[in-house]
Amino acid sequence: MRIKSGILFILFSVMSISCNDNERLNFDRMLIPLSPVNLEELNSHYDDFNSAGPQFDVEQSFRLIFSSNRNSNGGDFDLICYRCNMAEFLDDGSFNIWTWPEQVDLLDTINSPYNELGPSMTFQETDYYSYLPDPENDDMRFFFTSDRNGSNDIFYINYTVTGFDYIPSGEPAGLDAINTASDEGYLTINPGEIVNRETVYFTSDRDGGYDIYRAMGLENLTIESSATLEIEKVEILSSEADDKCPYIMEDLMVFTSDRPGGFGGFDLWYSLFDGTTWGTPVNFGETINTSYNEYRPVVVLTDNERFLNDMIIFSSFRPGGKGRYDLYLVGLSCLFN
Amino acid sequence: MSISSVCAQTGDKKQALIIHAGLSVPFSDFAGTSFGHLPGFAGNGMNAEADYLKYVGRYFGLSLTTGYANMDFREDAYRNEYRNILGQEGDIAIDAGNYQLYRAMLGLAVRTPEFHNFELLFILHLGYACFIHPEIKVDFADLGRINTVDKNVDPDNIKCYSFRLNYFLSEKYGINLTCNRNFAKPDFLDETGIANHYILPVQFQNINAGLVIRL
Repeated sequence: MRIKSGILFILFSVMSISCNDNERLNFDRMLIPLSPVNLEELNSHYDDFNSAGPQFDVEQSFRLIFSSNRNSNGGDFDLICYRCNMAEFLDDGSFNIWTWPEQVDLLDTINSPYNELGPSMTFQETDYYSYLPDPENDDMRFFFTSDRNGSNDIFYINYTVTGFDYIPSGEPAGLDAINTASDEGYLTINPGEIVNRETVYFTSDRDGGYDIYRAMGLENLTIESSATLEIEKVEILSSEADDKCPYIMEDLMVFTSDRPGGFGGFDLWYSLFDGTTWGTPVNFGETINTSYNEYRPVVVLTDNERFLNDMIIFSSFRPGGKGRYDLYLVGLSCLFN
Repeated sequence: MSISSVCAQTGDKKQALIIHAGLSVPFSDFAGTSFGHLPGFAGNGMNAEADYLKYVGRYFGLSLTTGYANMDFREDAYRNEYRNILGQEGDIAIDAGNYQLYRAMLGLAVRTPEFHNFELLFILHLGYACFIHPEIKVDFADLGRINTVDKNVDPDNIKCYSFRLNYFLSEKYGINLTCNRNFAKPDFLDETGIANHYILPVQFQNINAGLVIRL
């Protein structure tokens, strides 16, 4: 009888072993949230907008350079830099991005008592870790917009990369072949659009309202080296309303516009380049756009081996943020490349 | 189908074979449909068992049982959970197979004396099972395939307790009702998962009817 009781005790003991906790939800690769996420760590109570994204497929970390008037307590805008580091294990459906400010010599040279806006850059090191660029082949130009000459104009400055810092080469210079007495800004390059002729897009109100223009450099010269440029308004991207802040990543242009067909104020729109022309602009929809202003989108491509989708970083005046314009991040729910 | 051998008290019959089949109903975490609670997303299924039981003494018996179960994977619930996570109305397509298991167990039976041709048995089983996790594919709108779980097999131990009611129609034959609860924790692979695997609580009950043959 004792033996039988012992057997029963062992059986019940085995059956009462508790279960281990495990996480079942996952994705094959990391998923960037499909609804906008406020970048709380880098936003301030002042206006934070007009970012410049990296030009490489992000694996984990990148630098985000954007405009903020926090340094002047709401006065003029300066360019500041934050490091954005995405959590390595995002495949459980959660998402986290850590950010912290970084000092960049280049920006100290650019910033002035006036407004610095609309940055874009042709080179950013491809990882958090130090990278020594090849001065012969790496194109390191930084474009930005400033009203230091009265109206908004486009400026550029060359730089080199030393360790984690961007070192300016010379002083900022205006893009005189583009700039007028009207506003010009938000230059973005469309590499390879025309063979041997650098092609850029920018915003200008030289024709009344803000529209999107294209400028083509001289053969085998960069845009700032070309004494004359062929400039034209891109009719398919421009409307009767204001169309601003074009930003090109591969065959995708994103921009902001308050044209009809949106959800109120400025909305984010995109257009696809088929190799020859741009397509009819498409609104990003109400998942991204609100009745408040959405502004200055930039596309950040991600490493396809690690991520399911790419992302857009944009600014918005929507409620719920740190205050005024805040920067937001959202994953794209469709593939453009 | 289950073969349960009951050491019959009548005559010289000291063993029995029970073959039974019926419904498999997952419960607890295995039936869970929320990603927060180690869910199995398992739905109802079918099972068949065969049980051989040899009577030992007046109130006890030894049972040897083998069986197969096949349970649905609840694609609708899985889809809803992904939809909640993604926060999107876009199309989510789930393509999943079924959970399957083959098992063989040895157990100790306690029985009541036969009364008006009825007898009731309580059996505790321990054994080994081969658990098969279905292949799962999750596709979302334009992003394409967002999650994949390959079909994989994990042999693991299983515990079971059963209540069995036999009604004998004759000296040799009878009918049987069986209800048993099964517990296991197979370790399934998920190569794209958080830890490349997860230990899934597999808990289900079988509600079966069948035939008893005294041997």
